[in-house]
Amino acid sequence: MNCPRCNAKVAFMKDRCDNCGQDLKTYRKVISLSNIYYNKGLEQAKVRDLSGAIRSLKQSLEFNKLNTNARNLLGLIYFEEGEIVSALSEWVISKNFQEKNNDADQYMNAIQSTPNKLDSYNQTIKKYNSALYSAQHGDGDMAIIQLKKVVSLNPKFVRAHQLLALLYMMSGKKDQRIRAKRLLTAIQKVDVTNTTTIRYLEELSDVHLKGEPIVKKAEEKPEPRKTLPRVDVDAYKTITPYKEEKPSVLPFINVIVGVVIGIALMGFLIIPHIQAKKTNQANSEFNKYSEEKATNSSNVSTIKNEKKQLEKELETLKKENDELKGGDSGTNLKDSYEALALAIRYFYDKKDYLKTAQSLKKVNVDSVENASLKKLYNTMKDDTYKQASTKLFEQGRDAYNGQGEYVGKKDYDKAIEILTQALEYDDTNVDAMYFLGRCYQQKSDEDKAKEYYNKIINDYSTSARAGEAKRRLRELGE
Amino acid sequence: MDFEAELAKFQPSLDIEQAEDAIYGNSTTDVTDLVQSILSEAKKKEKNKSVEWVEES
Repeated sequence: MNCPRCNAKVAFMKDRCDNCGQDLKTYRKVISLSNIYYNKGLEQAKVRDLSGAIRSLKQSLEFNKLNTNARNLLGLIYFEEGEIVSALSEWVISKNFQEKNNDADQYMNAIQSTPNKLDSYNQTIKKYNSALYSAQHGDGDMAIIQLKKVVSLNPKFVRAHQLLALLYMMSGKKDQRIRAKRLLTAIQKVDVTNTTTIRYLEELSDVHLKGEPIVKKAEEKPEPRKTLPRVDVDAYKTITPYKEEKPSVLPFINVIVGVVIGIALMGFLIIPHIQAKKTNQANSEFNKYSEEKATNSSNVSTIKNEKKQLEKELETLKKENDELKGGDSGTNLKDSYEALALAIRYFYDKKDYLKTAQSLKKVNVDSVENASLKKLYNTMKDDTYKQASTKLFEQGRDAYNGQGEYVGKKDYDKAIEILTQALEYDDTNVDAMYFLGRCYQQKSDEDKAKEYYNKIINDYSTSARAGEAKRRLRELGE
Repeated sequence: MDFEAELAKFQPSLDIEQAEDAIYGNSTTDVTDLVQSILSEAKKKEKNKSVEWVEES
């Protein structure tokens, strides 16, 4: 404690100043009273009774203007309520009374360290003043627009909230009154005992916000003791900024967050498990399929080998069968031997060379394995084929001329058939060739006719038929 | 509620440019000052009384 007269330091319990002899009894009582009010203000501030705290701290300062703690706390409360200039004023005065070890330095530095912050506070105040001017001069809508901006910039500006709420209430509309109540309910959390806020809320007692319990007056039980809501020790320093209630959005956000978490769980836990299970199943199926494929492959190779073997056997059997049937000539072994036997009989017994040749023609000489029989076959062939060819030529010529067996009935087709057979037995039979040419000439098949004539001229030019062939060709325009 | 009367109760807030006026306009007289002034007044009166008494004697 300092002596009010000489400002010397004096022990608090001393009744008189050691330096100047000033009676300090009364002064000490005054200081005590100031401290009592400061303590009261501090307690009130702790429970957010800011209006009460302001009254107590002002009283404390009325007793002792040098009570720096009380002045600093008063400044803090002003700052909390959005009254920046009042707060700065208190801190400047505090600093003036106590230059050293003063918390006001810290507070002022916090505000002045960032120029934008101080400018922002000043703009907020100016907007509030402008809105108040508009409201008091009948431009409520403009005031509301400006005040909305103010409360968003400084969510703890009590007076701005109250003014905006009052303007909403003045409109009388239900939705506006709900907005007013929301604003007042929010700002009451900053200063719980603000009489203006309480009065306005009473005026809006018929308005109920969503989630607000509706208490019927008849059922109300008188509370035994009214206490202020409990607030943390440093609550007046950390107040959650006011935000408009959005009761209908939060549940949806919760649901969406829940769904997202569920999907994430599915993605991270369940789906990998299912995929691993599927992979295992696919692997086991693939192994099973591979085994089956390997078995099938071995079976296929076995079947292929068997098929090759059977084909070989079939080929052998076919070969044997062909041999038995007589090969390409279409005469089987039995027929060949029968034809050969018949040929022998015609040749030796009947001396019929034509029939002998015709029988020999039916023999498949490849199937005849016996050498002497083969020799006999060749001998008979040499002796009979030429004669058979000549015989057949004679028959063919008769058919052509309509003589002998074919008297009066020329038959060129028959002649061609017989003459062709004659050439089969002897392909050098020029007479047969010449008459074939004649037959085709008679049938006006000049190409065929020329073919035979040319063959005679080219291959048998020395024969007697060559000259005739040339003459016939000339007839045909060659 | 008389809204117009309520509206009239609202006062403009001090902005930064008015801070100096607010500081100088702040009343810094406390009870101690009052007591001091009362005591000094009382002393003055007492002094005056003693002077008068001396004159009487």
